[in-house]
Formats: sequence, C-alpha cells, structure tokens
Amino acid sequence: MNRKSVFVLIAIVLPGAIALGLYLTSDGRIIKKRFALLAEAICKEAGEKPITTGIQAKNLEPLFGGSCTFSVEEHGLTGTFTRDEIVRYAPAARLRFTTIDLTFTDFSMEYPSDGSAVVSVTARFIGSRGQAGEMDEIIELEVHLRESEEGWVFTDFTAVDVLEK
Amino acid sequence: MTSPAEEPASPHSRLRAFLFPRLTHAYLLRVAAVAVASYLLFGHLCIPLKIDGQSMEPAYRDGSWTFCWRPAYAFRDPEHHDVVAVRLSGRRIVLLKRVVATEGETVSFVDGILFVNGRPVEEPYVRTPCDWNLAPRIVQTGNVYVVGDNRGMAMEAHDFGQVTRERVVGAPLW
Repeated sequence: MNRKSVFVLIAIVLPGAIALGLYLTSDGRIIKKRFALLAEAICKEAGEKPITTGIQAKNLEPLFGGSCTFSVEEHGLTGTFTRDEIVRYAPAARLRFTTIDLTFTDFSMEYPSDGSAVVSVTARFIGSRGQAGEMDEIIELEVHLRESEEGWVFTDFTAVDVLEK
Repeated sequence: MTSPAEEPASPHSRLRAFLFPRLTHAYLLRVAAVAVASYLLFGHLCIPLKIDGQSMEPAYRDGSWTFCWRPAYAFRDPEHHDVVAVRLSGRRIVLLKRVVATEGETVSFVDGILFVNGRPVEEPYVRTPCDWNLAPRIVQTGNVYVVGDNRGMAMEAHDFGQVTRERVVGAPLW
C-alpha cells in the first residue's frame, strides 16, 4: 500500500470513526435506548411467569426519577406517580393483557435546556385480552426527560390530541 | 473480422445482460438516479398508504392500498367533501377522513344528519344508517372539521373532529 492510499484511507476512516464515536455517546442515542428499555419492561409474552412479571416491574425503576406525570386521558392514565407507585402498579396494569407489544418510533428530540429533553414519538400498543379481543392503539406522545445522576429519566408523558370532537 | 460487440446477441445472452448487467459507470449512475427518484417520489411526494380500519368505508376498504399525494394542498386549502390525509403521529401514521366544515363554520349532528351552519348537508358517500347526536361547535381558525364516511360505527369509537390545517398532509390519489 503506497503512501497516497494510506492518506486516503485515513481521510475516510478517521471522520467515520469520530462520527460513530459521537453517535454512540450522543444524548439522542441514549434517550432512544431508554425508550427501548421502557418498551422491553412493558412488553409481555403469553404465559408469563410471576417471577418474570416482578423482574419486568423492577426494570422500570431506573427509568423514572422521583415522580412522573401521565396525561393519556383516552386510556385513563392520568396523574402524577412516584417511582415506587409506578413499579407497584405496573404489574396490575400488565395483568389485564395476556400479551403486550409496545414499540416507539419516529423520534423527534429537542433540548430546551441543559439536562432536559422533549421527545415527540409514535407509540404503538398492541395488547391481547383473550376473549375480550385485541387493543391496537397508535398515539403521538410528547415525553419529557431529565438528566439525573442515574442517567436520563422520564418525567412526563402527554398524549397529543390530534382530533377535537 | 467481426468484433464480439458486433455479434448478434442471442435471447439467452440478452436475458443474462438484463439480469446481470456489467457494472459500468453509466449503469451505476442510472441505478443511483432511480434510487434517488424513488426515494423522493415514494418517500416524500406520493407515499404508499395501507388502509387499516373501517372508518372510511365504503370509499376505502379495510386492508386496501392507496397513495398520499403530499402536494395536494400546497397551494390551496381543503374544501368541503375532500378526502384528506391527517397526520396522526410521526411522518407515517395518517388518518383518511372527509372534510365536512372549514374554519368559522358550526358543525353538529342531529339523529345522524350532519348540519353545517344550521343547515342539513347531503352526504351521498355515507351509506350506513347513523344515529349520532353532537351539540353544535364552531371550527376554530386554522382548523378543518373531518369525519369518516362510516357512520355505522358508534360515535365514541369513531375518530373525528377538528384538526389543525398543518396536520392535513395531503390527499389520497384515488
């Protein structure tokens, strides 16, 4: 390999490596990972064992700070809950469904101030309730996060009302 | 002497050349141009839509396909009876609904009949019996009022109402 090829290779690889490094450590990627963990903790497979339910609930704990406000009125999820309350109530809410599939897509992030983020995201929830049928809902959520010592934590979930009757 | 380029191509060699063309600069350029054009056309201008739901039946059947023509309202506003694509979430999730009223107008339903500004509206696209009742409400500035064609559904289960003009992202091609 001659010197020119080495320079060309470095000119291509170095910016690529820097870009990859910046991407891997970016707040955007870390926040997306938090959403992935949240979805993972809520998703449920048929015949889930009680111990798995407990572990799933425990996995929610590091995702929330002191408290979190929910304003998803259409699904009766409103109010401010402490982290302990979220961990305590989540298994009961998941119990209503035999299977749950939750996905977050179409992320759009803003950082209004240092250590805070507002994320607009599409949430799709598919829950099977056995005889009662399936619930398949897509909503746009505005989610607020705060950077704490434990990393980015969720502080507010608000459903965006698109149609007003 | 005949060069290989001048030899008449057999159907077999033509098929091979079509399926496995030589990676010349011109060929790669054509592929890149087609890829960019497809991305712009189907990613931004004319987005494929799969209908998931029954709220616009019978005009749009559950499970059927159409395209959302994004520039439809680039230079004009939605009008009464237009079917529009309303952005529900993100860039890809849209609702197909019909515009029944525009800003400043009053909308209500009385025993399933749509009233706009106090006058009943004939809706030939509605084929199912309807018993909806909705108190009069004014469409706010910058909004349009949209409803699905399938009024056979319970009013509570049907997504309709006023939506900001910015959420109207186009119209179905057919």
